[in-house]
This record gives sequence, C-alpha cells and structure tokens, in this order.
Amino acid sequence: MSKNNDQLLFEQYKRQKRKEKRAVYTWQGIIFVLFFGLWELFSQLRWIDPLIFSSPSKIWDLFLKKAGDGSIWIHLQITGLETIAGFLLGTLIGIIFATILWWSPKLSKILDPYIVVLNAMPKVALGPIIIVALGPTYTSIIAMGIMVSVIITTINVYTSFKEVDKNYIKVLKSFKANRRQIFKEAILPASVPTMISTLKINVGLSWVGIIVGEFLTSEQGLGYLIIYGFQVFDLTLVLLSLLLIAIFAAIMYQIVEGIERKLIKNR
Amino acid sequence: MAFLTVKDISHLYLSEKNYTKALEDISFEVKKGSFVSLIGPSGCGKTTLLSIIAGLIEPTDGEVLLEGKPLKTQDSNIGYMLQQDYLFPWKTIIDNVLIGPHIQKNLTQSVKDKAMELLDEIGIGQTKDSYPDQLSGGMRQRVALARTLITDPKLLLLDEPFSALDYQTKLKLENLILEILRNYEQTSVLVTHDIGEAIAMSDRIILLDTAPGKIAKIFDVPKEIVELSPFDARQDPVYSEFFQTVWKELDSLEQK
Repeated sequence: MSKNNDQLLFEQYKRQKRKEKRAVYTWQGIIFVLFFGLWELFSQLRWIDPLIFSSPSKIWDLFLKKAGDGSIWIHLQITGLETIAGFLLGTLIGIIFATILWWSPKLSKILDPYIVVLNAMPKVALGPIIIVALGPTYTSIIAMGIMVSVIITTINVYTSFKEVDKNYIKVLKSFKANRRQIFKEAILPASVPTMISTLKINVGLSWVGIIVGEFLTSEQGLGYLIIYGFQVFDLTLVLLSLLLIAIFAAIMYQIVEGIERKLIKNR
Repeated sequence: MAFLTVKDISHLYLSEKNYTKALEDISFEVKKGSFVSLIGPSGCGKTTLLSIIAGLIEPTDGEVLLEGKPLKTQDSNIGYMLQQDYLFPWKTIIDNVLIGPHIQKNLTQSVKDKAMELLDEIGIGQTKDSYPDQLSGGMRQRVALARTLITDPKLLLLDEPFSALDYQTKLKLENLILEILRNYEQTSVLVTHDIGEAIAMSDRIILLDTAPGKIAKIFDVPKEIVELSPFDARQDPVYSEFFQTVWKELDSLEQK
C-alpha cells in the first residue's frame, strides 16, 4: 500500500518537473516568435524604418540568395577559421605565459603592474599598430583575436595555478619531486577546469577581436560584410552578418561546453 | 646510536612586520622502530617541527640527523601523512599509491606488485581502479598510508592523520596502521592534539610548551600499554591513570 503511494508521489513529481520544463521551452519559443514576428510586422507597417531595421523576411531572402550563389559560405568560413585560430592560440599562449609566471615567482612579482595595465587596456585599440606591423593580412586579424584573450587567460590560469592546495605540493615534495614534476602532477591537472572555463570566455572575446580586425582590414569575412553593408547603406546585409555571428558564436560555445562535460566526467 | 636525532632546533617565522619564534632549542632522539608522539597546546609549533624533520622547512638553527647523517645528504625519502589524505582526484587509487615511485622514476613491475599487496593488506585491494571521491574518508586515509609506505621511507611522519575522521573509523584505523607499522618495523613520529591517541599509539610522548615551542616534558608510555593494540590499550586500567598524568601536565601549560 505504502509502496504504491511512494510510486504515485514519484510519478507526480516527474510529471510536475516535465510540466515546468515544458513551460520554460514554451516561453523561450514565444519570445523567439514574438521578437521576429513583431519585427516583421512593424517593418511591414512602417512603424520602424525598414531601411534601417530591415525585416526578417528581407534578411532571409538575402541569406537564400547569398547561400545560393555560395558567396556567404566563404565569408563565414574565413571568419570562423580566424576565430577558432584566435581563441585556441590565445588560450594556449595565455597558458604558456601563466606557466612562465608560475615557474618564476620573482618574474611574476616584477611583471605584476605591467600585466595589470595590459589587462585594463582596451586591446582592440592596438588594432592599427598590429595591422601596420604585421601587414593587412589574416595574420593581423588572428593576432587581434589572440590579443583580446591572451592577457585575461594568463591572469585567470596563473591565479588558478597559485590556488592549488599547498598540501598537494607538500605530498609531492615528500617524494622529492622537482618543480617540473610538481607542475605536471599537481598544478596542471588541478587547473584543467579553469582552463576550460577560460576557453569558454575566450570564444566570445575572440569574436570581438576578429570582427574588429576585419573592420580595420579585410576583403572577406563577416566583419567585412558588416563594414561593406554599412558603407553602401545595405543594413539588411549588416543584420544578416550579425545574426550569423550570433548563431556561430552560440554553436562554438556549445561545442566547448560539450568538451568540458566530457573532460569533467572523466575526472 | 639514535636513529633520528633532532639537535638544538630553533625556528623563527619572519615577515615584514614582525617575527615569531616558533621553536626554541628542541632536542630529542628516536630509536629505530619506535613510535614517538608530539603533543602540545595549539600553536606550539608541532606541525612546524614535523615539517623541519621532513626537510620541507629549513630551520633557523640546529640540525636533524638520520642515522647520524644530515637530512640533506640522504637519498631515501621521508614519508609524510597529512591531516587529510590529499589524494589526487584525477588519478585512480592505484595510480595515487604509485605516485611516489612515479616521481622517483622507479615504476617497475615489482613495485606495482608491491602496491597491490599493500592495498590488499590494508583491505582495499578491490578499489584499485576507483577514483578517490568514490571512497569513504577512512578508506582514503588508508590509501594515503599505502602511498606513503610504498617508497620504503626510513622515517614516517604523521601530522594528525586521524583528526578528520569520525571516532569509530579513527579507532579502527589506529589499530590497522599501528599493526602495519610494527610489521614493517617503521620508525614513526606522530603529531596530535589527542592525548588518548598519543598514549594508545606511541612508546614515548613529547609534550611541547607554547610560544615559543620548547620541550616541556618527555613521558615514557607504561610498558603494559605499549605492547597492546591502540584499541585494547584504551581499555587498560593503566591507560586512564597515565592519561590523567599527561592531562594534568598539558592542562598546566594551557593555564599559563
């Protein structure tokens, strides 16, 4: 009797959870439909200027056209590859810098104020200098992507290196481990979660660096399309590029999150 | 000749604002195969002293000799067990046990076999491929013991290794660890704030005074108790009597 009752309560609980979940999805759907629906409607009714704000249908038409002749894919591919290169290299170089700082406490003390200043500085402001120095090429744009993420990565990862429990180091030292072994056996593996969360932040940051880089110098890419659309006053093109960036940034974020789940599960 | 000689150890903690004398003129000797406990009020520098013996901290003054030779000239390591197990959560139990040989580049098949034997001996052989977070606190501390013993340390230092465990687990583990240490004729130094534990486990108890830490008194644990396992020792009438003696001495230090 009581067992049946328990089962009943459990079923009830599951039903309620499912209901709550459905409600969340429903609202998410409603907001999506409402946003694009109202946008389309207001644009049709000319409550907003279609020349400036375009409309979902016009953006969709443009997308179909550009997807049909294949031109959009080239831009997408270039920006995508630049961003991936930017955030992977930014994270990697940041981790290497953090390692150097951890290795030499003296160096990290000396460099501390400079790192603070570098971190506070808006990195995209270095864009013109990078482009003059490295030339108006993909290298410059990827360098921009690295610039925006590398300092914050260094700081985050170095902080996590320092915060590893000293007693783990004590254990290793009691076995006469050297500094390299301490780093490999304790510091690095203990910091993997931080590195992955940094990777997530860097996905977003690199998009900023890459798009600004493309604003400054490029003949291809989504950043280029935005600037081009702005110059010829084709705001449908600008908005299409923006939507594509939003979609692909979200996809990259999901991929990194998937990697995170996999890595954390194996620990 | 004494196995471990602690000679005139003094230690000063320096910071930019001030300095604190943690230890002053500590000298004592430990015989091979014996078990010595350091007890004292909190802040008496017990853990500092243990870290100095382990060679993890360089003392301001004095020296530690192992078999008559300074610590630094020795290649063999000193085993160190901490308040918590500090097992690496990303390594399996067997890999945690083998971390010492791995560091010392001595990971042979016979060492691996020995690790398995050790795990079986302390009753957790079946967990070798588990991860530390799948084990209870007592089991984890046992793994930490195996990790320490696998490298054949000449000297085993125990820094309140039972303090984070519940009472029942602690009693069981005391018995198990002492039995293993006796089997291996291991020389050990235990730091604890628990008088009962010190009496139950050791042959000799060194009572430290606080600020700065110096030796207040050395007790030899009555023979009747030394022979017994920690659990049985706690039941013995001599135990409670001796407990009172040590208690009074410790209490008088804390009153000051």
